Amino acid sequence: MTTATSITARLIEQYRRSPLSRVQPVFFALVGMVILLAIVSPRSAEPSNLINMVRQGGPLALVAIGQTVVMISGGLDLSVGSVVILADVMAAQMISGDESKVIPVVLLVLAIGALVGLANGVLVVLLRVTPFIATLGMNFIVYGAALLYSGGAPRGDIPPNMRFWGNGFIAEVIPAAAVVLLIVALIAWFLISRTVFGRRLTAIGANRRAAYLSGVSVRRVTLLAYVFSGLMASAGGLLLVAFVGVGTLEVGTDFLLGSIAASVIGGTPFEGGKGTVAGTIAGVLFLMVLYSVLTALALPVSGRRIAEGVIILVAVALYARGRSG
Amino acid sequence: MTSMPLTTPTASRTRWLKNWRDVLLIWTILLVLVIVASLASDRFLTPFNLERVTAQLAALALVAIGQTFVLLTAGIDLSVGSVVSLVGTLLVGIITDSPESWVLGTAVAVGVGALVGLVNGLAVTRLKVSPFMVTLATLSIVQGIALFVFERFKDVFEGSISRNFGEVFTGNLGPIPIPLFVIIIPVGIAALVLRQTPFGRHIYALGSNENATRLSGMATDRVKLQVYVISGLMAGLAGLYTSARTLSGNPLIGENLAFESITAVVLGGVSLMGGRGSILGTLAGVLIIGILSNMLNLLRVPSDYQYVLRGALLVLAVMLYARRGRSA
Amino acid sequence: MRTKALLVLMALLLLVGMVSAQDTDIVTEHSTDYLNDETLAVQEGEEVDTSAYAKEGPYTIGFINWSTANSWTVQIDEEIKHEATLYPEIEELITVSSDGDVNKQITQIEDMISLGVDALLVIPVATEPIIPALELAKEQGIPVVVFASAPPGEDTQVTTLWADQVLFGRLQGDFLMEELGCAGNIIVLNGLAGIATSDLRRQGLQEAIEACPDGGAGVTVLAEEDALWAYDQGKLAVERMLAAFPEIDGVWSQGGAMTQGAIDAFEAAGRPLVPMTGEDNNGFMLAWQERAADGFEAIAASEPTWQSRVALQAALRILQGIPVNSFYRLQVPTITSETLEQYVRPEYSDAYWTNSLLPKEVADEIYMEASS
Repeated sequence: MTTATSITARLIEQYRRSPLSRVQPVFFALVGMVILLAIVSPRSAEPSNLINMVRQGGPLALVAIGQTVVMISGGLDLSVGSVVILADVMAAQMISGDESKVIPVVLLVLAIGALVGLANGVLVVLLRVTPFIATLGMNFIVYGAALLYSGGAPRGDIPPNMRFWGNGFIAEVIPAAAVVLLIVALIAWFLISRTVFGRRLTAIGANRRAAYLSGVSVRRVTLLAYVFSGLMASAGGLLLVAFVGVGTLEVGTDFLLGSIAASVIGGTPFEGGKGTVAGTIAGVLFLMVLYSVLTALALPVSGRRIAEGVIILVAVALYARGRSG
Repeated sequence: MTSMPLTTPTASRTRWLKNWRDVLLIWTILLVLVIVASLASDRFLTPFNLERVTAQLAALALVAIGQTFVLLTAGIDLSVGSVVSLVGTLLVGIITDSPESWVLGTAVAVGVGALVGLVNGLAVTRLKVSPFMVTLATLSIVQGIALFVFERFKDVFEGSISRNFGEVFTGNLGPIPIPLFVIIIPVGIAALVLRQTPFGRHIYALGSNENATRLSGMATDRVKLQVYVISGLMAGLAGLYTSARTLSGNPLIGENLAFESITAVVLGGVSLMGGRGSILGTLAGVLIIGILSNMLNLLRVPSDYQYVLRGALLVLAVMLYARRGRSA
Repeated sequence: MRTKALLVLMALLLLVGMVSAQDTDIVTEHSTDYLNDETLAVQEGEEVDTSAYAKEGPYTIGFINWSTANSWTVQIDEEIKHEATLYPEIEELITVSSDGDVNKQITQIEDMISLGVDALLVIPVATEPIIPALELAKEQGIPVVVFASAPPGEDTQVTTLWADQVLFGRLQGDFLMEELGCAGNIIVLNGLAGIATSDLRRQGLQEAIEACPDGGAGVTVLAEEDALWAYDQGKLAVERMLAAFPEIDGVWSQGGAMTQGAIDAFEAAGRPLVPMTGEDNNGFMLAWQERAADGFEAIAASEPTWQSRVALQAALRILQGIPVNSFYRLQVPTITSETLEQYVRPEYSDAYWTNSLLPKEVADEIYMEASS
């Protein structure tokens, strides 16, 4: 018993010193889940299919990156699901199959997403409404707006040049959506890890008061975080509509809970203060591999919900131990 | 907010004063809403309509009471809706015409709720995980169990709930509809517990400043555990009431209750940061949500506009508190 | 002898009364009578005396749709709104959506009663939980017409219009069993467990499988997922299933945009298309038509959007005191490769549902694609 404990302790100590310890736990979890997939369904774990999962998770990953940024600052964005839907119906209806309209409409929809984010930010920062309530209220407002805009019956379709980014493959193996994700991820990574904005964001999430006292413009940075999240949610909606091909209010993916779950599994604590883009993307991929495992096991929806819940619980519990240990 | 020692009489009195001002504000808003509703629709102040609104709100009120305890400690409970769904799904197989089955059913409702609450509480206190994430996870797990019971044990948990049992919760006692008691009695008990007992004072203290409270020697973890058990228990009772009201069980029926109860409680002046708010405020919040939706329906406002209005009003109401918080 | 003559006389008088009542029927006066059109709705159950509900117009009628988040529910709204415009006797048609929330639906039923609507039409989210609320409507003398979902109670509603959802799933299932010769691996796409329509259709598939000569022993359900009738979830689910299972011989999808998702997933994976089931939404029908020449076999069951108009006609009959039947079985064409041509509308958007009675001008206005 004692020897076993001391061996474990030594192993942990060795791990802490090794370069492995700098790898975020989510990557181990991801690898573990892929191995599990390879066991339950070897075919699903073939490289081409694993690459395809990057495409499947593309829209959610974009939304989750925005959510991560807000969460790092200690906030929360509950409006993302509605922003995705609004972006989806607006893009389809305004583009309406016209290839030449793609670029201006994409820019406009991104701007609207950013505007919703700005509204969230103003509520949180200037009017001091709790993020939970501000963004929950915004969620209702934006969903109502999407219903009103589409008259309940979304119209229009997405021309091939835009659908390519949701569905197509470059050189027949690399999903175009993965390229979009990679570019956005690089930008977001740069923003968080290499800029003053990123450092301040982390500082605010870690200790708002200290950040304020050390001269950080808490308001401006928080505001920008929400703008970024709105922007990313509309980008997620654009990638989704490129994937679906037509405007639709019937979005089955749960972007809200999915984006929070992916961020947390990816190592962003709910309380904020840290978080990485790579971790969040790994969190999204983890969910995608998990869904494949559940499909291969032919679990009904009830089993799926239970499994999702257990995994979220285990993930957050492990991180919490890591923090206190 | 206040970082003063929270057990001194002065601090406690300041807190009550602050709470009372919030309560006054929200009840004023409620009053205005009632006046507007009765002016806007002659159908609003009819006995039938008021009775219906009461029946509609009882489940939300029960859940919101539990949610208030949790939010006062700066926690949150997202799993309440799934508990309501699970309890209903189970009760269909339990409650018959015999009063023994009613006792058993009530025990199951309370037991399931308290158990889920216990799991939430233990995860929050022992694993040190944020309440949002813990209860998000249990929301999913309990929902899954409800669906599992519904899908796999159809032959056991099938049919409908005894009408006599339904009457116990939805009938009338003399001229007064029973759902009114379902709201008033728990509200009264909860208000007493929060105001008059050491437990209640601990909850406020914990929510106002956890570190100071812990340093002052209070068992913060035990208080936290208790509030989650209370919240689960209240959700179990809400499930019991819902089964009586619908005479059936449905694995999705509680789906929106978590966000709705949080909205009601926050409208009622409870701060998500904890330590601030009261049961009377929560009651007003619940009434506002119900009356607003009732009024919009009576005024025939289409669903899409209702969404926009609901969102805008929620944000507006909370802005009022935020402003007051700054000036106070 | 005298009594017999009296009886005959009374019967005659009754007949005259009925004929004269039908003469003033506002349904036949302003619209086409769909309710008594046997090609649309077959009368079942018993004749219900509706004289207690008879009242003079103008009428306010409430309609509670189970959701408006998908194109089918939207078209249901459009059909009933159009039908309502035909009658000067209808002062107001109030339409609301329950957004798939049972609790919300119960509240809406009660609020409609408070509002004092003259008649109430409901598409139930779930059948059983709304029974007490419907009984309340009955107590208050408000006639209820339920459609597009199983009848909630025996006599809580005056009448029920129903395109049998079990049969819906059964027809799809029978097609698939025939295509597969009752042997092979299938995957299943459901709507959402706990929603009546989804559960009943799935039950229909089970019956079809069990009706095979060997009791369905030769059929394996490889995987099953709730994809919410949505394209994105349907496609993602099928992509995962394709990756996990090398041999899939058929796709049983409840319909909506999910089947389109399934087609696209098969093609993206480079797998040959297998027989699939779907619904009569234009998006799927167009995708099917494009591939029919290459041998793609499919079937579309239908849950007609015109039923909201028939339901309104039933309500108007009840309000005039004209007897209706307690149950109408809606006659639903199953669309096969042979009849596909008649239904599909290339000029309309994917959101259009082809089993519709919307006049061309109205449908053009809503569904005509700008680009085509």
